[in-house]
Amino acid sequence: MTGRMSDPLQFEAFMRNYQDMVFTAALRLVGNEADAEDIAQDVFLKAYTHFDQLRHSPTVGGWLKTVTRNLSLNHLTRYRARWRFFSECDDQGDRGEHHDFAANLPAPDMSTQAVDAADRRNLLESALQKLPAAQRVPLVLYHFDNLSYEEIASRLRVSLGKVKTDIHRGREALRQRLMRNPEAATA
Amino acid sequence: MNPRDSRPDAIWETRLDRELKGLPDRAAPHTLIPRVMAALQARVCAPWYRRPWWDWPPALKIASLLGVSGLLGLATWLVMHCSEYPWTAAAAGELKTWLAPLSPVWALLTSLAGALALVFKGMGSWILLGASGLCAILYLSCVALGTAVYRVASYRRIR
Repeated sequence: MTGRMSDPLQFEAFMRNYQDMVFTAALRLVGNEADAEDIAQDVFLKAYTHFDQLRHSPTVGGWLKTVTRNLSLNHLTRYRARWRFFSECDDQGDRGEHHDFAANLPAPDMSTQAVDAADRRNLLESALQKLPAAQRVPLVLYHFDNLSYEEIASRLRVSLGKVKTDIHRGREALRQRLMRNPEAATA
Repeated sequence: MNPRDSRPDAIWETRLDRELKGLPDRAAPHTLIPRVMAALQARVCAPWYRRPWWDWPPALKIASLLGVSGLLGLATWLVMHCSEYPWTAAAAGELKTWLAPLSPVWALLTSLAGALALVFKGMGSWILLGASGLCAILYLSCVALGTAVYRVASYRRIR
């Protein structure tokens, strides 16, 4: 940045193209809209410093996703650092929360007619966001970012077993949520 | 019980993977672009000395590099050649005079350090180890208590 903004209009157009993707990727990891917006802002500020290379790059989407993932995980790490000491031996607590999670979700109206695809997607997105971070983050890294269990364990600095357990519990929680709405589960 | 509950995990994993990948992106808040543009504008309007060094004007970058190199060179030369000049001894004497009012403080600190060293020598290594262990336990207790209180207080927010 050398005293004036280079191509603000082009950069704005660039942001319009990618803002939903960046915001969604951050939101799925941090589970909070305000934090996701902050992270998206940081991502685009970083992108601006490399805009000359990025604007013509065919891999710009991947670059943005990687930066978003890294910033989101850094954000989560900042909040987790102080209590992580206990979190690894918290299996009983996690199990309890697992049951609480399904019980606390708003009950679907079983008398309604068939749930259409949009409703099903909303249901899944909402259930995903309500998962505890310990389950949501590895689940998102596995299914959306296509990371392996080993990569997730290394990135989150937790054991491989914990990653597998958390992902399994996350999937089960989502299944329970969808099973409570048969149309959503079978569609 | 719903018969689908007994489906193998692998089938559910595959289906869930497909469903999750099919989720559309959420719309970003309308405030995002204005926020980014405002932050960029604020950066651009900041004076050069408040920006990172690599964003300085090129002439200032070169001048700062030359200046820092010159200062480092001068400092190196002074360190290597100061003993060759009689004025350095005079300067050292002058410095001692300036610092003379602080000599009682220095003497007090050195005697305190000497006394502490004698006490530690007399105590023996086991007592020292025990005292260090006690300090570590007290410190960890504080960390544990603080973590527990923090976690209980903000449990919902974190998870």
